[in-house]
Amino acid sequence: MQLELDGVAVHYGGRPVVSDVTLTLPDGDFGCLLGPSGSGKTSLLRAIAGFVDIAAGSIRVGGETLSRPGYSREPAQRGIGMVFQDLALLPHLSVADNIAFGLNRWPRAQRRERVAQMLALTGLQAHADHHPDALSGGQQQRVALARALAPQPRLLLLDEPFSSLDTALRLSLAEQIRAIVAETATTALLVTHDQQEAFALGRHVGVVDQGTLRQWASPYDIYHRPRARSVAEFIGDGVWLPGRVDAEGRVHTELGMLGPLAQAPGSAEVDVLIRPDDILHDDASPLSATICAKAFRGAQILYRLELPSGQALKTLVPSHHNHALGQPLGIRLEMEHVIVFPRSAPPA
Amino acid sequence: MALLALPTLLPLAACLAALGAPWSEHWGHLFGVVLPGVAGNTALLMLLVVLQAGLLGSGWAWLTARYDFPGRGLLHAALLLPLALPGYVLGFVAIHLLDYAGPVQSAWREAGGGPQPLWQIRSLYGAALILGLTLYPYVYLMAYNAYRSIGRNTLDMAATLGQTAVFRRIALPLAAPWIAGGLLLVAMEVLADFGTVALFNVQTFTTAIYKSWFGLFALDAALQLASVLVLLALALMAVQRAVQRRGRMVQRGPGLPRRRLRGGAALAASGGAAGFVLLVVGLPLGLLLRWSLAHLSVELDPRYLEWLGRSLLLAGSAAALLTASALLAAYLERRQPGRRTLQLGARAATLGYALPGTLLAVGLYAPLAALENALADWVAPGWVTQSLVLLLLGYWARFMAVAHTPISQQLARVTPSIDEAARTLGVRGWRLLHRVHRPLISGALASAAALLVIDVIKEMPITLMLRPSGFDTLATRIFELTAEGEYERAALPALTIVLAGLVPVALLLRSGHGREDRAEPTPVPLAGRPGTEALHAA
Repeated sequence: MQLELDGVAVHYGGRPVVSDVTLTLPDGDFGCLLGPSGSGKTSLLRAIAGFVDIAAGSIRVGGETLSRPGYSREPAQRGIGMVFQDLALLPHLSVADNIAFGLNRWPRAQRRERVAQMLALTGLQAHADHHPDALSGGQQQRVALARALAPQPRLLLLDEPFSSLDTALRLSLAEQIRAIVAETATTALLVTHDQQEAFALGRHVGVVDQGTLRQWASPYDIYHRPRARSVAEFIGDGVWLPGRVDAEGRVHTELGMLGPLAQAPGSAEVDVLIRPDDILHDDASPLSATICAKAFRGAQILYRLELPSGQALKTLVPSHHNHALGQPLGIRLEMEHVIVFPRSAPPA
Repeated sequence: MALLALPTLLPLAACLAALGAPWSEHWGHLFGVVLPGVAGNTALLMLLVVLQAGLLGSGWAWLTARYDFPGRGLLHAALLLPLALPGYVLGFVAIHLLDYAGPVQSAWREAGGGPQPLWQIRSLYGAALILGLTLYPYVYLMAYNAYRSIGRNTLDMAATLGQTAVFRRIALPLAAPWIAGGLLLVAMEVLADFGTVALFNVQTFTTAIYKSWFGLFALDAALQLASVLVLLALALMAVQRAVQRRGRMVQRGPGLPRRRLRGGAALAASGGAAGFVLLVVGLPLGLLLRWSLAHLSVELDPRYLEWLGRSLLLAGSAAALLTASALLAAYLERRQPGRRTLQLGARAATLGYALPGTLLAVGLYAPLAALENALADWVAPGWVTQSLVLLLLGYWARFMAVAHTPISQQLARVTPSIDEAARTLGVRGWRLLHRVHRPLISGALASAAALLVIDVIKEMPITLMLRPSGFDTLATRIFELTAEGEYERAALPALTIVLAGLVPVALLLRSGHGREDRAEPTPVPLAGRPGTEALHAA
């Protein structure tokens, strides 16, 4: 069901850890909250689950208020399923009994049917009688998911569920999890610090930083139309290129003129966000920069470049364009969206 | 290594051999009359004690592990205090207080309650009550550790799935293997108990063995009873090994949050726990102190000092002997890790804790007495059977685990790479032992020695059965005085033993056990008790 947060704040011992978070996750959608550790994203998730009281705002699921200051419905009464970071599987129960853990008030026949359904959905039929410690990491993950989905929750929360797995497994498992959740048409909200994970899973992605939600948008918009400097810095690779905005809204930079901007920035002195994919390698270009460092990434090479002025740039180039350090590399700027923010004070 | 295990293996072999030995003239009587009663009593006693210890241990542990209330830390410590009370001490206090002639029933009669007894304290039920009250801390410790290692996420998971019966659906099932381990320790202690059942006049295997030997002078009958007992002890041990393999708990993330109790609930928790401890520990200690003081002028004579001196002599020499042997064995194991004979030897040497003292006493005495007889032409009569050597062998067999387990565990932490690191820095030979090993293992040595001293001072059946005639210690004096109904005169030696028994409880609390979010080592008083290794995983 639809999840609505409206101006939610969470305090721990009087200290705000989450403030003024507003977002809407439509029914049946998959959302991700992305942020560095300590950003408050897990606190927000625990507030939605009802483990933490909120200091301001409201939390609604399916139009029903579950939390507001001074009122918090018991976690057990919320109908919200959750997959925990450490999975919290019960070692003394078999896979089937773990999945049935929340179904103890269901009639026996229905319970058995539901467990069989969940086992089939997660592809764990062969492991129904095994204990969790006999399973692989990915299988354990699916048990935890099946257990959370079994009572047909109105909302599913996932707290960094892939953090204990190695990188190779993560994305393929994330894909499986999304398929399973989609199959049940459950609204889901996942918390992670991994951009790839968030982009792969979320139809909506929220960037959380220092307790506030900086942006809540599609992955494409988060990457290409960041609305806050912190979002642009947290997501992807990029450098800031100083520029000056003229009266027509065009931005003059060392790499030429950009724009015009659709909306005037707050100041004439701006920083332009330059992603590695905004800079193309072009030997015919009059512009060139010196290669300072390179990182081989298989299909591509990420070059770190320096302009004569000392300005740093990054570019992603197909890896057969293999150039040596210290060589000049011809470049061309090709930007679809010009993202600028008022110039920030240089770091002290 | 085989030498280390010999004092344990000899009685074990002697008892098992007695199973196949020709039936003695007593066997018919034993089999037809004694055995059914003894077996029934032992089984019923074990059942009642295990039930009581299970309820008390897992219940109190849930209160202190899950909830927060005024005085929780102190009460957690206080709930362990019965560890310092031998059953035979709490038992005679209870008998003196609650018997027909005691103050409670006398007051009842004076208040017009009629001449029929309120209860019969000197019974199997009385013994079960006392054993349960002194043994539940084993379960308490295991359950407490298990509960504390349940993660917050596991509770939260249950809540999101609509489960609010946390104790029944989460805590108890998760802690079950640990609680079972504690209960098996309790069962072993019940099987081994001699002092308490003797006091309450309950015929179990241990008292029957003692009576056959010292009452009927039928050593062969005693040995045959012991041979049945050894099967029971080994069966318990096998069950324990099986339980231990099950259910490891690995907790990641935040630990179990405590729930703050307020108002009436807090009062009930603090008051209930405090009242329980006062009744079980405070009142008996107070009475012991009062009786000791009342009889101090008579009892605190040179003879008391002699008993105390002998207790300390035995305890000190046993501690020195066992600690040194265990250290030697641990170094041998370290030099040749993974050698099968060494591992088996260590395992056999530490088996003794599962074997009742009466069994070890009979099993050691019978073959050595036979040897002595065979050599009668060459040695003085009683050169073994009437010497302290036999007694020390008995302690060796029973308590080697207490020394060996902590010492070998600690030495295992001094890894070969520590030695190598020291060598690359130019520290070798004796200087390596002195500067690197000694500081790392001296703690384990000291606590092992302290525990051994306490265990030997408390040990009743081995001392009673293997001592040279007339060699009285504090424990044997308590046995003799209480057998004559001289409870108040037994108070001074009893109080001495209880005070000595407080040392391991203090060690346990000092080791930081029970503090939040710390890796908890095997609790000191459980060191060497079979099955408590599982606590490392918790």
